[in-house]
Amino acid sequence: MRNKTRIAVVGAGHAGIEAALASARMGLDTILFTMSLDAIANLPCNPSIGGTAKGHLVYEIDALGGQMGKSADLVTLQARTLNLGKGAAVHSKRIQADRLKYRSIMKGVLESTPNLRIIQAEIVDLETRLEGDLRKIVALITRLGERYEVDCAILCTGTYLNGTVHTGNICYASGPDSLMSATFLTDALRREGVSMMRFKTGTPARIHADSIDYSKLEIQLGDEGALPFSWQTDEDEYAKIPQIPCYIAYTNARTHQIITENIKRSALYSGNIHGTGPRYCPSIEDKIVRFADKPRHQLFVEPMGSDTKEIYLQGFSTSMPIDVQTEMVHSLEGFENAQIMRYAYAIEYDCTDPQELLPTLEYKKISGLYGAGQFNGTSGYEEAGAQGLVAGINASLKLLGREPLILPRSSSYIGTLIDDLVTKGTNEPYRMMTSRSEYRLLLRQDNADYRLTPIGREVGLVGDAQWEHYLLKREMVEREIERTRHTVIRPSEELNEMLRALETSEITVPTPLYDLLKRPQLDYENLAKFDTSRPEIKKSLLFVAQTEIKYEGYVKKQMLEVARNERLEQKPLPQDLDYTQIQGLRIEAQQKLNKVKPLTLGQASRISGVSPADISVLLIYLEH
Amino acid sequence: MFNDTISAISTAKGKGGVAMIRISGADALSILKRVFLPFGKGECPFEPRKCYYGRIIRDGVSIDDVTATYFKAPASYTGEDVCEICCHGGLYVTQAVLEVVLSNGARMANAGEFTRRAYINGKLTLTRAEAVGLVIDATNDAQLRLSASLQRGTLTKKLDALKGEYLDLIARAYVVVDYPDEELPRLERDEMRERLEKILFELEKLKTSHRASRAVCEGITTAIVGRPNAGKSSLYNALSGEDLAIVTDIAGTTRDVIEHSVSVGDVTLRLFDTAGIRETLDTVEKIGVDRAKQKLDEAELVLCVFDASEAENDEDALILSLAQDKSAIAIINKTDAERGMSEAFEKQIKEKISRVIYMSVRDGQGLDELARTLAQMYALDEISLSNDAVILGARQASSVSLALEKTSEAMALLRIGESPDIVCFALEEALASIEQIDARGISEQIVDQIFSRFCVGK
Repeated sequence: MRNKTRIAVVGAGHAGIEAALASARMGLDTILFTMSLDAIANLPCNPSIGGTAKGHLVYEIDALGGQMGKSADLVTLQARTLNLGKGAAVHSKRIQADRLKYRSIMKGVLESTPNLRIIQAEIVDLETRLEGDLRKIVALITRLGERYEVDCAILCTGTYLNGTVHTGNICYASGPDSLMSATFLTDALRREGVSMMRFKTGTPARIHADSIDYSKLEIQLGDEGALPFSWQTDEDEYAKIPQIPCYIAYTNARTHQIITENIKRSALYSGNIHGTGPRYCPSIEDKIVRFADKPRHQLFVEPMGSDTKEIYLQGFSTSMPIDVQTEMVHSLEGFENAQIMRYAYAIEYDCTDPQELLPTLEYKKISGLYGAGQFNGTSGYEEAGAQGLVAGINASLKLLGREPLILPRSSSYIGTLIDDLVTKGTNEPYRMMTSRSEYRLLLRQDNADYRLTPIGREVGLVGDAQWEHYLLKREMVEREIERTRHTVIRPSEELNEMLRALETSEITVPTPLYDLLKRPQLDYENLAKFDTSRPEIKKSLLFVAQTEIKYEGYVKKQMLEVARNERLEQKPLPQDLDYTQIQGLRIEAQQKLNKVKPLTLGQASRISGVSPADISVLLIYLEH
Repeated sequence: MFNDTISAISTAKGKGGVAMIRISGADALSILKRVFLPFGKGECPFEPRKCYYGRIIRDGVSIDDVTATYFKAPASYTGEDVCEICCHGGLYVTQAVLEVVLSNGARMANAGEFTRRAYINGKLTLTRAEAVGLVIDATNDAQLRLSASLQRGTLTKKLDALKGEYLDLIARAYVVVDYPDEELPRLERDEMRERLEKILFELEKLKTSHRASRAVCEGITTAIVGRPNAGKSSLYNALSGEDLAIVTDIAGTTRDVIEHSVSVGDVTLRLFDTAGIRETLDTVEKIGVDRAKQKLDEAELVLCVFDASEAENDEDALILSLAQDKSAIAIINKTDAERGMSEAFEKQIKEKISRVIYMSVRDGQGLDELARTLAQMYALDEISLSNDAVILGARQASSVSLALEKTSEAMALLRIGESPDIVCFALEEALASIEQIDARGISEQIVDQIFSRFCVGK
């Protein structure tokens, strides 16, 4: 029967794509609903993928068997590794992506995936049935009146749900990029007892490239010899991709004056917008108001694609009316004659309270219903993709009758992201940052596969080719580390001269390469001349070996910390526990615990407002 | 299993007849073996669930006579190896025992941590009454700490300032990591080093204040030694005289540890029964020097009284040799009388004991200098008890020490040129130990700090 599927995914953005691919690849009959087949994998905001902590997420998605990294590699216009020189743990890859190409590649991947049907339709309602004491999802209804029976549904509605676009005092119902908004689903979810929140985000203007005077801007080039996101991409081929430059522009006193004089006309300040915006992605008027003493703000001028002259003006998001926007843009040096092709806007949308979700991203109250991406209160393509992948995997595991996948915080940024969301909730669109992880020395881009590929294999998403690639990598890295232990570098005047120049101590006796690589100042590159027995080995593998050597001590320390918390993390808490009935728990703790219904004691201990004394009370209660 | 071994005072805080210090974890027995010296001859078997009588030793000095019991895993309260030390219930002695255990490899247990381990190891088989008692204990501990810090507003302020400084440093380092493209001022290594030095200075001062507060509140166990007629009794009387009032009389004790607590300036001295040492010294040839030394070693501070009017003898030489490795003050008495001591011996005294005071106990001369010297030894001249932040408790002292250790580590990492991600890791550990909260709470604070202080984002 065609109007029936095991898993339905609502929305074909970055969360929906990963969710649908995961469930189809795990062998479950899947339908992906999208309101427009032309907007699959749209990048409605910045034309870039990765960035700090986000790059980590893309590597992790790839390590688990997801799609984002591979597709991003194929559309790279420019690649950079951020934070070089700040430590390998915080190296973050970011690419400028060809937006249209990304959409068509993703659409192609979806279309050629077995078990997956893509259907253009707006989902307007859902049906649930009471099974035991839990409601269970049974069907989705489209705008055209079709009814699809489902075993599981994953909601990935992005910024489309009751989307309202604001430009100055003009506002209208719309999704991003003038696509239709979805207006019915919120009411259906509310009817089912789901709490909804309203968030806000925004995007800057797009400018015609020929109207910009680039001679007045600073050029920003990509890295030479950049490494790809995905194991599937050949690193030597990737390094040869011709890169397009970006540029840097600055706001000035004139820009700030225009904004200050017109601040009341911004939708943000006129009282039109009620949704909560993100602190980390403020509009330019927000920046000017909050940090009035800063004389200028940096803007990035980024290409939207190789076949288009549209340019994205990163850092200039605003909800000013268009006359003010035009004046603002023209005040920038190099943009005096700029022609705006799309105006900036702010967008408000409905999303769910992630504290109503389990760490599997399934609703606690509605069995078989999952949420992922911006719908869960996050921001960013990478955060969305990560959640989509986990929701898709968990819906599939549930239908296959297998144990769910809950990634611990110590395993990944993905695990940290989801734990933060479901445990602490969020009152603004949540963005991943390296400073959010207490295990960040463990969670590096270069070891994402070490951490997650065995899990992806266990789940069933990592195929034979990826698995072999992973095993081979491990073996080669281990062999190389072993070699550095046995390779002895002899002291020489040339070497010591370099060591002196790098402000590290000279060597007087033959020293293992391993010991030299441990020094912060030294690496494979500057030791190459002295390491004469080095075999032919890929740059990415050398980097892993070097980082493993340098971080060994710190990794051990963090692993101890992980082990210390592990038993607590694994101690389950019953889901039917009514915390108000537990004597000795403070009222605040009772309320918070009842809301979150943590799965484990570890999760309970992270809820704000739950103290160690409360955890002791819980321990004792559980004994009786 | 948990990797670390924890310890805490498990009985109620405050004075009581007996107090119990519990140690739990894989190293519990080895720590006990390091700090506990059983009475009696032969190898102590430490059979599980058997109670042994002996002493707790700190730096070779006995602190208290105690009983110790070893519970072998899993037959213990927490399900891990557990050792329980029962000592005398005074605030000072209990804390001293705990500090010895902590300095021998145990970590201060967090509130509720024994129970947590017991639970996780599937061992919690308490009656309901016991369980409720534990809850009360855990809550009380937190309340105790809270009320204590409320009373000592200066300490709270100081710690808050330190926390703020740590958070600012970490946030400064991470804002450029999370927002590499923004035009943000980089935290230069030199600035970081300078600010870490300031933090280290403050932490050192706090640590010193613990030493000072102990000297003031709990007192320093002190022995007055010297040959007969050197002036021990006069000194003893002068110290416990009208100006330097007797603070407490510990009456009816059968134990020969402390007779009097006296205040010398701001420092409290807990004076030992010196008679015992004298007798020992009198019979030195019969009983042996070792026993005399051991007796002297029970004191944290030794006041060696020498008679300047008499020529030195073997006993003086013995006392000098016994005191030379100890925290000691030499008192050269009877400076008003005709000189009998040789200059060579006086020189020897100065070589072996760095602090020398010339005194005429009978005239009360030199007592002020003794007070000044004591204040200096216990850092009272560095710490103003009324104005500075002062640490009273072992728990806070233990977290400050840890913060100090981690901050020094960060400093060392910075010096060898490590990257900020690694340096900040050590700083976060330092912050966590100051906060005495879970490190998870901290990442949230850093994120908040980043957003409140910096203009970032696209």
